[in-house]
Amino acid sequence: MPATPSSFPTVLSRRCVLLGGAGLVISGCSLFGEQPRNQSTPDVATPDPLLVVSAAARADAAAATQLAATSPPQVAVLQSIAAERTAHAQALDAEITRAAGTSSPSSTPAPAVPAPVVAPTPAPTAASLRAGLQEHQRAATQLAYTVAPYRAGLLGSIAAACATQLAVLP
Amino acid sequence: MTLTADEQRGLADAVRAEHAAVYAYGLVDAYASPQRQTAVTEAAAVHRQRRDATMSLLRANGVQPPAAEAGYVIPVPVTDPATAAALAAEVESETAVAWRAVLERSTPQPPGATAGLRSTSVDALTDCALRCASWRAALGQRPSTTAFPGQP
Repeated sequence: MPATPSSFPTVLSRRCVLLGGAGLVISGCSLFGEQPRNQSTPDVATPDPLLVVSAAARADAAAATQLAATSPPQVAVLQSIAAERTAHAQALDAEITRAAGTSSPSSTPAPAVPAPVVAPTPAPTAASLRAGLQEHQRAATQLAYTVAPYRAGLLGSIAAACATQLAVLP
Repeated sequence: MTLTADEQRGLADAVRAEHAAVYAYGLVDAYASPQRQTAVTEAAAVHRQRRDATMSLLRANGVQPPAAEAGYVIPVPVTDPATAAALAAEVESETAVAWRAVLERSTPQPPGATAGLRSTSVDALTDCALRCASWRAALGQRPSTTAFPGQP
């Protein structure tokens, strides 16, 4: 296949994801399994891998919103990024909920979305938002390779959207 | 790469979309403003390459890929740089849809694999999304980005 302008390095997602410029760390990251959730096997309460992706989207949305308050010339772009990343989180949460609802009756309930442990951090900058979006594009792309087909489509769109947001970031 | 029947169908649809894109970029090329010429030439080449590679992949799986149509219905007549850019944005949006659809019909890659149908499709979807946003920006559309490129 021909190379495209958007080739991604083959970085595997880290188990504990440092999210964007806000420096959020998912609590209980030792619970996160390496394998994507397989609904045909007995559920051993492996957290849905989309949980991390959703939290990453909300972190970017929060960072973009915060930045918008301090960067009047870039308000429109930052607000559109915040709105899109929020839409990403909502779509991911809907899919997480749907998947949890179709798991076998003998399974344990899906874990609640872990509340991020917010460590004191410096205010987000355009550079930190950029770094966050780059990492999250990479992570969504990698995850798209191995998940169920519908999820691959959703993650592909999200990764592509992050790429376009990076292109309009000042 | 051995394709499932569903993957073959998805890729055939992608070939159709890429045929239409190559055709459309011929019109875009004729009317685009001079400062967009490089972008048009590059985009046309990328779509052509992607189309050819996908047709080769189908043939390697014993599938006759769809041929280009003699002509295509263009949504809005192209008469100047603005309508040329609008057509280009539409073309990128349509090909993004086709490549997301391939993703939704594709089997997963083995963990750790860096090449395969999923990789190719995410790359294509991302490339189309970037070009679409670029054309929308050229048209002055704000925001130029959308939340879910490739979602029909």
